[in-house]
Amino acid sequence: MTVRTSLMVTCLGDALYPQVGVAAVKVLEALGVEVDFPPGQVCCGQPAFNSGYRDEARAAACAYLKAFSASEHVVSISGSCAAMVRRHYPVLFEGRPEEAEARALAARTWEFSQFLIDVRGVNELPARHDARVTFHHSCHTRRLLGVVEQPERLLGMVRGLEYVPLPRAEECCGFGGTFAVKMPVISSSLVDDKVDHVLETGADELLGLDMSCLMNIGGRLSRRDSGVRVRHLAEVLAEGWGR
Amino acid sequence: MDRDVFIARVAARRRLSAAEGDVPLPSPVVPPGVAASRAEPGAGQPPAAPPGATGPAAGPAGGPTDDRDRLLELFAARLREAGGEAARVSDRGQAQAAVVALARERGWTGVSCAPSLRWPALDDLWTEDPRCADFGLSEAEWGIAETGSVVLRHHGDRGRGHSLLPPVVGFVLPASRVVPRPGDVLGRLHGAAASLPACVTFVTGPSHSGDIAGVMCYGVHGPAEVRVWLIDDE
Amino acid sequence: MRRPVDSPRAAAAPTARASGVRPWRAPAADTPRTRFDAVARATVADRPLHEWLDNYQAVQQGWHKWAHDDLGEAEAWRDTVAAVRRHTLAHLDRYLAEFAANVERAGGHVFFAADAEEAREYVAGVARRKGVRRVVKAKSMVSEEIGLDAALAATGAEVTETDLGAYIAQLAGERPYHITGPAVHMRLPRIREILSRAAGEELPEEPDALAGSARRTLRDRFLTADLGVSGANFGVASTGTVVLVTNEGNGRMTTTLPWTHVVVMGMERLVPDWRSLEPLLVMLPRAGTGERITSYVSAITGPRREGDADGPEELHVVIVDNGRSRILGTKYQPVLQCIRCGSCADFCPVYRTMGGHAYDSVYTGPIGAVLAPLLDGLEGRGHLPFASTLCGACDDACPARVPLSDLLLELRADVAAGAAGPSPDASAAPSTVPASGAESTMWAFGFKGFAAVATRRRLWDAALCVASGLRPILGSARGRDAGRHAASRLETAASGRSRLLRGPGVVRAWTDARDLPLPAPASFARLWRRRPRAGSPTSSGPGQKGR
Repeated sequence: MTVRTSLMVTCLGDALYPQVGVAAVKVLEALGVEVDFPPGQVCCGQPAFNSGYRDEARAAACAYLKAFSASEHVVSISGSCAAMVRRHYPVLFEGRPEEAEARALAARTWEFSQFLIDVRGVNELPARHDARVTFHHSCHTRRLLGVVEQPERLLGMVRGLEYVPLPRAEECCGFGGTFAVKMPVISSSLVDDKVDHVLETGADELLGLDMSCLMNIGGRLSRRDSGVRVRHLAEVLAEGWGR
Repeated sequence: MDRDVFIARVAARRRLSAAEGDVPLPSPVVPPGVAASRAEPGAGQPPAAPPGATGPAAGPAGGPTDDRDRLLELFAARLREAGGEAARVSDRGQAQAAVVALARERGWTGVSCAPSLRWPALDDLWTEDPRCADFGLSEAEWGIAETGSVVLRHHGDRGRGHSLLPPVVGFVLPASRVVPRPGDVLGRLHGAAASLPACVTFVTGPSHSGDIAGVMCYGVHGPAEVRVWLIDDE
Repeated sequence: MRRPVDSPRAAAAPTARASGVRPWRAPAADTPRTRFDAVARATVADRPLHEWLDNYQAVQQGWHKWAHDDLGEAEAWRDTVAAVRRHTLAHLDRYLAEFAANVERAGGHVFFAADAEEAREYVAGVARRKGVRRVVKAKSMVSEEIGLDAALAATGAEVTETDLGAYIAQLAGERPYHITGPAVHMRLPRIREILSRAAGEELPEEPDALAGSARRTLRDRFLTADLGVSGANFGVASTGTVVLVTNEGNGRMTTTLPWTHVVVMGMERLVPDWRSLEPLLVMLPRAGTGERITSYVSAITGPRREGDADGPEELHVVIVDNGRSRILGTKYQPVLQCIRCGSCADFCPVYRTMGGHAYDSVYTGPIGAVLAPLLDGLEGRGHLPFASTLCGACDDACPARVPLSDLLLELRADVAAGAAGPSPDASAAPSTVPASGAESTMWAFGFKGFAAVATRRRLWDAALCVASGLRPILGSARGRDAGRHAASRLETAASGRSRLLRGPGVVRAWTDARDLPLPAPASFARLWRRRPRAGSPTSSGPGQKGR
């Protein structure tokens, strides 16, 4: 039975990191998964929800509900967006006519690595990537989705890849959505701490599965001229596929 | 505020969320899985102990004598980890002799304890006032193996000060009254609520504080040294 | 600072960690928000303090983990703690009545204080009636919350905090920094200075000597005090017993030596009976200080009985509401499950970065970010719920399973809706005092725009098209430095543009410290539309036939 899934590319992915979406599609299709892209999707509503604007978040979420209404599975390239749908959509729509639909969508929405391991059941990958990499798990992915070992298992399947665990991996990178611009002093201190840990590993690349965290840490790595390349896990798998 | 008005206000407010349904008290209160796996305290996964700690390795359950021995060993190990010292003696006389010997060794001039606890060999050192004593001795009601604690019931002449004011304090405790867990003592207090004294104290090792730049200091403000004598034939 | 291409990436030559934030000019207004900003900024800029707090947390987290592994099945224990707390709150009126009756049966006095003022007046009244000259206090958060020290001092009594950290903080005139460690931020030299001044002599910079000096000073206070004021970790309803969980012995001395003992207790700190005390007694030390148990647990039932060798002759228990009943019955009720262990602050990255004084409250850390606005009102505290990345570390740490992240999100919704505090009704409808200022109007407006775009794909597509079109102006596409150039171009090219960005300050807040990626040449949606359709159908949307 073919597994069919819709891609949740997320607003950041659509606007700033389309190559991650492209890579995710490539990997999914190579694994025999049928992928479609419901164009009605814009944003899961997380920025508004986290800032307390629930009506506005609900409006965005309704558009998501509509866009993905016919999807069998939904795969997100950002863990925090998958977490928004899985964890917060039931709260956002509680007691409202859309509640059942929201719960149903939550139940079939996955983060990328979570989908590969838990749904598609991947246990080997024909991929190669000769680099020393470290990995940032992202707080929402770790704590709201419970996704920790899935990306590590995927990394373990890639030939030539040297994985160095990130010190104090459970610590937040300081993004927190609008927090990064509402409390920039605290946020930049936290991202500096995270960058220090990344540099400690001596890795050439920092990988992750959440574009907001990667944008945050990557932005600071770049400002500090670190030379560390920042990429989504999907990009590494796609690039190294079949090598 | 008037008591009834206060309580009525609380009642009115908590009724607002009563729509969720009654929230029963979990019974038994200890998680069932925990109760089962902890029937043998110290026999579960031995965790990495804090630096400087010693302790017995976990072993398989044995007969009643082995159980009690293991329990007492665990008590002594846990007390040591907490910074105290335990010794096992065959009878009360040995404990008393140990106190007197310690007093000579340390040059103590005052040993305080409840009048009912005092014994002849102690006479020239004994004082009822713990405020000026070098050492305070108390009778403990129970011991808790998991934590290395002793539990005191303060009633009558069993003053609180003997275990609090002198810089060194000691406890005599019948070995038969060591129980595995804090919950075992709480259960006993629960059952004997009618005879609860004005104060019950759990004492575990010396007083300590890390408030000065994170460095652990002892004897602020209570005793810096704690000793327990477990008496076998009681 | 540019590193040569072939330099090793190891931390041997770490890249500069300049704060990357604009130089700070003193703001015109002095508001809680500007004070908050100033404190947070100062803590970040103080590198030795930053490392100190970082190390403090690392140590605390290590002991917390050790104590939970040692216990085994910690998750099951947390469930039980949460269940006991929830049950108690669901029947709080009944347990309050039972507790009070039993305290009195044991010979104690009970006073129900609706607010801080009533509580202060009662305790000051006791002090005046008994001609109290000297008061010793064993750390009670509630007594700080209600401002008791000042009220007692006003009666002419000398008031001394006896918990070592609280004593040091009191001498320094500072608020407590952390729920269980009031002076965790202070390093040895400063503590030496503070205690030397109190002792009237130059003490060595050596912890044992400093502790010894405090012990001597405070021992004298204990022995001569006429009133002891303590808090209560728990109140056992079935017997009217007040339980104190302490390490130093000052709690025991405060509640044993003076003739009169006053307990100041938050009304939610009850426990039904002795059996249900077990999970709380097991988890509080393990979560709070990473120990199996504290040095002392004192269970006090009434004043001394006739024939008792020592203990106070008079016991008063002051049960304090001060805003707690307003939280009961609302979506915020779970915050009352808190057992004041301080674990949340030990795991919070924002706490260690901005420091405990940024909360401007006796309650610090994530619990403070929730409780302070709820007890004091959102006005003037509306920024606290936003001082969080919602990373959830606090949720994982909390032994009572207080859903702190969810409560912060609820508070943010209330702030956005312009509320002043939890409404008297159980429903979420907030009261209508508007939250302050231009900043929130900007965000409200901005999110209206967000909603408009998020529901209109074509509008989003158009915006992305425009953004892509701006690439040549925003920055060069050469190499991986594109991001960096984007930031500097925004600053220097066409000063008119940078002034536009200065308005809301949002983008600048980012680019001060981080590079921002350029908008992609084509959005993902556009790439998808252009994708070659060869062979098997690859649908571009829902409703495809045959699915």
